[in-house]
Amino acid sequence: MKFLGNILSLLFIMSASFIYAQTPGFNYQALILNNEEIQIPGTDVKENNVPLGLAEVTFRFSITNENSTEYIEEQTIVTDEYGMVSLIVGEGTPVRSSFRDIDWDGKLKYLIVELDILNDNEGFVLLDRQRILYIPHPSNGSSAVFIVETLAALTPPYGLGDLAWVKNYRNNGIPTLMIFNGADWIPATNDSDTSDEFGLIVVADELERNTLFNPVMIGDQVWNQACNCIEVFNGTTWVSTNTITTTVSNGISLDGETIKLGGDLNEPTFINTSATNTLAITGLEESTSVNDDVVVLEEGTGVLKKKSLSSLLDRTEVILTAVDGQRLFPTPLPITSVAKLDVYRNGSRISFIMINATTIELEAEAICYKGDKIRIVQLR
Amino acid sequence: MYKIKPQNIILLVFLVIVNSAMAQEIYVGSGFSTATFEDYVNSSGENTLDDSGYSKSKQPLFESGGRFDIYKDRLQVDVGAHYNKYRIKTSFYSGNLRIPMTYNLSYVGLKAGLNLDVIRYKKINFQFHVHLYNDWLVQGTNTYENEIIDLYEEQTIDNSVLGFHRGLGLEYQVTKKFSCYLRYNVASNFKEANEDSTSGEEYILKAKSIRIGVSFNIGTEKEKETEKETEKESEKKE
Repeated sequence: MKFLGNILSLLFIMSASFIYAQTPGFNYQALILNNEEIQIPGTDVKENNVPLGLAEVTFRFSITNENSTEYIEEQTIVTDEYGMVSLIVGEGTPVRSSFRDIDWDGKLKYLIVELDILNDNEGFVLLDRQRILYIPHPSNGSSAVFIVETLAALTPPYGLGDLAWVKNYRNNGIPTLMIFNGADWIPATNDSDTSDEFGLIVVADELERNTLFNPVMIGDQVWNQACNCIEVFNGTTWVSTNTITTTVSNGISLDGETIKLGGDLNEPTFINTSATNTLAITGLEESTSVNDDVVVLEEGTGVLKKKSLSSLLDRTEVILTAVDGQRLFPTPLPITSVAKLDVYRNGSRISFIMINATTIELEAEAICYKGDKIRIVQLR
Repeated sequence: MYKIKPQNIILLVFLVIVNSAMAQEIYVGSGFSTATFEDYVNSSGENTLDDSGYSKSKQPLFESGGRFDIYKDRLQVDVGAHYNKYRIKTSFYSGNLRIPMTYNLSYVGLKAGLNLDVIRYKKINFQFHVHLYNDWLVQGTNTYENEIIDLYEEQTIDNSVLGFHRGLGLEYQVTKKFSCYLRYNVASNFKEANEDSTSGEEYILKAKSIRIGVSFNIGTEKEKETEKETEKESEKKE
């Protein structure tokens, strides 16, 4: 029976645990499905509907860093009757370098999986490319690994590179992997090295990004120096996370990334104050010119308006020459309020009473003599 | 597989009606049949089926029809209807993995053909028969792993198949009016390109069956009159 076509791996589970026995490596499991339609009488068997069982396949595993391929191996295996394969990457036949020579330096690495179905004569096809996530592990074989509830439960001495799985770090119930750096215990993931597996990959531009992320997977992130932004692949395209554009108006202006007070109002604007929340402006200069304006509030609306200072100081002044015993004098303007009148005799202010709308009478003690100067100042 | 043609149906219906009116015998039978897909090739010319090692499931059948003589009581026209169920166990391959599957098919059909008495010995007739038939699918599923495909709803298998029966039979005449029979029958449809499913796909649905039944000689009015006259002449002679 001729085998039909290619296969597809729909599921693979890669263990993050490394095996440091005779041969280092990590587990790789995959379910292989037949991805081509099989014709039978009636409705045909759809692709990816049945496992590819008992088929001899060859896996080619490549471990790469961002720049080059560090290791390649091949393994030939027969799928079980359920289409499953389970093998250990590191136990295959090396094609390039050896698994032990891989420099597990904490930098980001990729596992590229290719598959060759020996019966279909199509050679290797790319099955998957994904990042390798691994737990740092002492490589010299002499360091210790502790599992404790809290850091306080650890007892010295410690050695450089010792690891501790602290189940309740910071007493918040969150487990954390700690590593002893020779002086202190530090969280293994708490570093700021952006070039390691926990930081973003830095690329110079889109070309480098597209070359590095090929194939690209949804959720991939990169720091693109060209746009000075973080870009995330959304499944269709790379999108920048710096997509928020700030706009200002109505008396606020933008100077670069700085928002400043000042500018044109674009709409009626209200500032509501209360007895507690008052509005104050301090540090104002003293006005020395009668030509300056003052701020007034429009009755009813509170809209601010300006008014010339001189309009508030509109007054009329008249100087009369008295005769002996004269007490009655005319005012320059009709009297609307005696408070708007001041009367001076020879420069001294004197009291008076209002006789009628245009006449005042000086107080009795203020006896005038011929030639006295009576100055009447009246506000409108 | 054969694309249904209206004239075939009309011909079969016509024969059934005519034969019912003219029938000298009517028969009713039942039995069991087994079926297989033979000579299957897909559109690539490959056989993706493997039914080796599977037992052939026997499923019931029912038939009824009428016969009338066209030559000296030895050659008869036989027209009838039948109902067949088939359970076909086979498998296909995914890689080298053999995945079993089961077809459950039910057909109703009409048939018309000839029945020839080859040897007569006392009350036993050794017969050969051949029929043209047209079957219509009334129910069908295909099951493999956890998949159940309704072939009748999806119409991905030929809903109408034209083929022919051939077989041998023994008939024992109990009385002049009543007989019982035993037949072995092989039926296969005409192998043509499957037009309901994948283009270029070909196969034969082959069924083998054993049937037992009874037939009643009802004769015709003319024969009855002839018999009466014969009886009267016999009485006169006596």
